[in-house]
Amino acid sequence: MSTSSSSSKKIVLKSADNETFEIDEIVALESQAIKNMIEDECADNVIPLGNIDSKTLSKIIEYCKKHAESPKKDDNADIDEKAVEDLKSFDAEFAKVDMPLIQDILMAANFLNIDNLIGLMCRTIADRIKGKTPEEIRKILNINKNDLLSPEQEAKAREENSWAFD
Amino acid sequence: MDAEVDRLSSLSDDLIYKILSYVDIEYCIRLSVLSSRWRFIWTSMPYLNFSCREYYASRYYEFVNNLLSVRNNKIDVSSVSLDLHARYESSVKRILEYAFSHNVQQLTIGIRNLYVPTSLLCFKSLKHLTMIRTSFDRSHSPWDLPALTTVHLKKVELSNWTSILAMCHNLKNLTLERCQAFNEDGRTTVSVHCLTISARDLTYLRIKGPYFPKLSLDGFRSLEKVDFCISSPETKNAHKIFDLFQRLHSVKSLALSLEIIELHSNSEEVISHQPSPFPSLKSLKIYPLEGLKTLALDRLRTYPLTSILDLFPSQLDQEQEAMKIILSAEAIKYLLDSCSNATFTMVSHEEARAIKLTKVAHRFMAALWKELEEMEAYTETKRAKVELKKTLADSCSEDFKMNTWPWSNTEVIFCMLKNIKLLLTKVLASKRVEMQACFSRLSAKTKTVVNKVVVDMKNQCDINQRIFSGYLDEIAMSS
Repeated sequence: MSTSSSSSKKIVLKSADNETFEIDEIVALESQAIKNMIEDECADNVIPLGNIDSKTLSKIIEYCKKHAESPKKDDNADIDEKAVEDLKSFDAEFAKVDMPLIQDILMAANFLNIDNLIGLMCRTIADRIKGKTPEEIRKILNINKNDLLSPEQEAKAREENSWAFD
Repeated sequence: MDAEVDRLSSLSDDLIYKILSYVDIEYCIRLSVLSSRWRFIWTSMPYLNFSCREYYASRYYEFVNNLLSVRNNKIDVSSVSLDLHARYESSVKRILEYAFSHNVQQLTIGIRNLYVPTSLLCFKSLKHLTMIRTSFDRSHSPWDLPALTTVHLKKVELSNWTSILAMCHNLKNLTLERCQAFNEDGRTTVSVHCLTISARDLTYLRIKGPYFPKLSLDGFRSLEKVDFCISSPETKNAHKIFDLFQRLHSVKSLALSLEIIELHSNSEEVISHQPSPFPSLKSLKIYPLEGLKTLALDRLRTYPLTSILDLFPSQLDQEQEAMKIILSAEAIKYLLDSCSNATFTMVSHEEARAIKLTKVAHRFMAALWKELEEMEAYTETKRAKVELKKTLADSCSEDFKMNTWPWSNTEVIFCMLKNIKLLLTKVLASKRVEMQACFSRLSAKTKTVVNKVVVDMKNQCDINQRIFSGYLDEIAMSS
């Protein structure tokens, strides 16, 4: 893990709205997808990310920076929990954003293949819908109105799974 | 981006499964009414979490049985987590059998007071096993888990001379945390008496608990990372530990509790003629444990701290001095002599304490935040109901009963807030600014929530006053 020694090669990412972000290669490597591109030498100086807007991308870079600079988790002894706790509190703060952004980050993280970030966003979404009524969840997740079950279908779903509904 | 877009429904099933992997399977089923996208998602969920505290055992069995028969039988189960009470024994059996026949790879079992029959643990596909507070029947026969690579046993009761791990040939990571053993007469002893491990590829070993277990080992040639977090090792067992050290030739990273080193220093005759055992060592860390036993977190909710030292059973200043001196001599030579360029880290009592306090403070702030959110949500739904009642002329005497829950909780909230403030004075210096900022948000949130609760109480009182005078008028009129 030579974070500093590689005299920081730079990678430029370009968002859908044509904003460019210059970052250290080590930060970009948090994304398995970019890592593969670099390893296969099919990454130009600028990597265009046509489906990620700048707001989402800057959040993702913030996350990758923090995770790239913190010690890897192979060191799981008790006392190293300092670093683990540090990341945990960063993650908790990071996830305090509104639901549309969380979903954007999740989709972008999925595209860029950043495993930890996918996990964090999934857990955040799960935490926000836990214990809520279907009506509340539809609002939180902004579920497509055309996709809703008709009252008859909903009744049927409840009936079918009635063993789980009381 | 357009906030009106239903992004989630456009996600692949895999991502939706991943989101749902954090919630109970029972809840996933209820989500089937959300929309047509969610209608049958649960039936092919590869992650099954079972946790239940409410049902009668027979009812829960019926639920489990329904679930497993309706679930898409063709789809493998990748992980199963059980957090159940022992009275659901038949459900546990049913779930484990199902998991077994669906190639489960990851299993987490937390079942209090239940003896899991070893015969049930025969998963050819199982890679990761975590057990918390679970016990086994008293068989000594090895587990038949050939694919197992990671085992974490926490507060698990094992047999006294157990060879459960004798046949897990692919085991790479092993953590034993506060495991206990019982004697032949059924009484529990304090720690595992003897554990036979046969794992030639074991690379990571961590043992945590008050005492050191006797390990009968085959292999250990690949062991790279070892952490012995033993808080009160017994002098009579010193030779066990140092015999084991002699077998850890390949260890690169070693972490030891200061208490082990202390033991080492107290039994010099054992080690003085032994060679330094770690030729491959790259990093050695020694950290103190004693004095880190803190108050149970729960008690911090209602127990107002007067000083941060309330958290710890004793002051350790003098001992600390003594231990520092001992460390500098023989022991270090013994540990580091055969490796020329290993890094050595000695964690001081202050640092260990600060790390612990930082952890407690983090957890505690998270707990308070959650509690505040619950109070807020409750107040909000209640307000909706109260608004409704304002317009109802025909309130009944039921409304007269004051519900005091969020209000009665404010005392706890203030106590927690005060305790956190005190904790923050002693957390790691590097974290202080960030945690202070978090604390400010917490205080602001407390203010908002408590204000809401107060307004809510006022409303309730106003309404009650109206109802009350209405009743009085009625009584006066009718007499």
